Amino acid sequence: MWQPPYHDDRLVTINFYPHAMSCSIIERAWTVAPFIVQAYQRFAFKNLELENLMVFNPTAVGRLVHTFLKKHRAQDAFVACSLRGPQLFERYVTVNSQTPQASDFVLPELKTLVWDYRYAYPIDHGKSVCYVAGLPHAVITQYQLFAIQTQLHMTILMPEQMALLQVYRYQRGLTFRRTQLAVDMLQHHNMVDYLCNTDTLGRILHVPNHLVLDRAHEVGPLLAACGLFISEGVDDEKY
Amino acid sequence: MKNINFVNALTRKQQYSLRRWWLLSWIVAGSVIIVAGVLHGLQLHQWYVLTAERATLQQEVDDMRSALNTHESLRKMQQALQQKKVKSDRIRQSLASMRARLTDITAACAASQLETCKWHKNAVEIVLGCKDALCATQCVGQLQKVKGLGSIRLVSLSPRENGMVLATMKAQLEKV
Repeated sequence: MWQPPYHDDRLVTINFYPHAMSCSIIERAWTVAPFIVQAYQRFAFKNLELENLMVFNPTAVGRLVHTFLKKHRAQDAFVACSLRGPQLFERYVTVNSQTPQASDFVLPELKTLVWDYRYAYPIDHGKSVCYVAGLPHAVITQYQLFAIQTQLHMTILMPEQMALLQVYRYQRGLTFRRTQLAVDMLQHHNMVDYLCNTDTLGRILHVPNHLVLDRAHEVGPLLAACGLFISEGVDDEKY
Repeated sequence: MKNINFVNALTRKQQYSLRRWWLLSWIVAGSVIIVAGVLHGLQLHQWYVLTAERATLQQEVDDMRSALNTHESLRKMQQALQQKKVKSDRIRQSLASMRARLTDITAACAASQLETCKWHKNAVEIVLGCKDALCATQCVGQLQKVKGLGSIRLVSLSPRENGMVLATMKAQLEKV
């Protein structure tokens, strides 16, 4: 297929945290690592612009995002967002089937949320563990309005843990097995952050020399950005 | 592993397709507008040219119509003048013939004295003062030789003083 004039293969990822936000531009690379980070910036909010995933000052947050996009000429790129914070409901639920129904999840918290689940890994006695994530309607609407106001082509709004699970699966490649995931998850008490570390980041993401950042502190956001890029499925789709 | 996505957005492929169709639609719409504009422009230009030509021709038609009216009125005037000319010619001709006859009559009556000569439509009445009746008869004979006079006859003879006789003659006018 022919490409439109403003085709942009880059992906802008925005990671929202309770008191901060990190923006990055990820692109596919075929040299040192599968992905390359073109730009990265972390914004800390001290005046309640973003508090517990609630955007209290969308103008200020939007201005920061818009400035970042304009600086790197990525206004036409697609945007994927990940969330991590107290508003986000996340839980690993044990069910009796690998293909459970929504009615199998009897959790009172889900009644007021928009939620979904994914089969994660099997455990003993034929049971399975599913990852359940939910978000209040108001928060989702808020982020959608924020995307509209800031003119972002937002395609993904997902939990950060889901993005990290995607990274885990990507780094395993063809050797990915859910049983191994189960072992790793049980070993780390379902803390997905511990499945990936700085070495994982070094293997899948190339950070250019001109980009100065503290890798030790930015591992989580950068891995989440890679997970968002994988989730976007840029490589899978042919235009 | 499928994602958990809280927004139901169009996929990247769908959005690119949408962008392509949007761009294509704009191009097609622009092309259609340009083509329609060009075609309408050509038609408008043709309409303008034809209107200008029509105005010119209309002016010529008006001139020709006025010329035709003038020609018609002049023709009627000429016809009327021709009729008048024919009439005047006929009158002139009749006057000329009358004069010629009068001259002939005068010449024929040289021996006597011509008193009056009354011209009617088809007849003429001549009154002569003669010496006697014989002279009047001779005058009748002379007048019979005049062209254009026919059936001349002596109508009356009345005596006058000094032994003269007043002879009245009538004759029919003939076309020469």
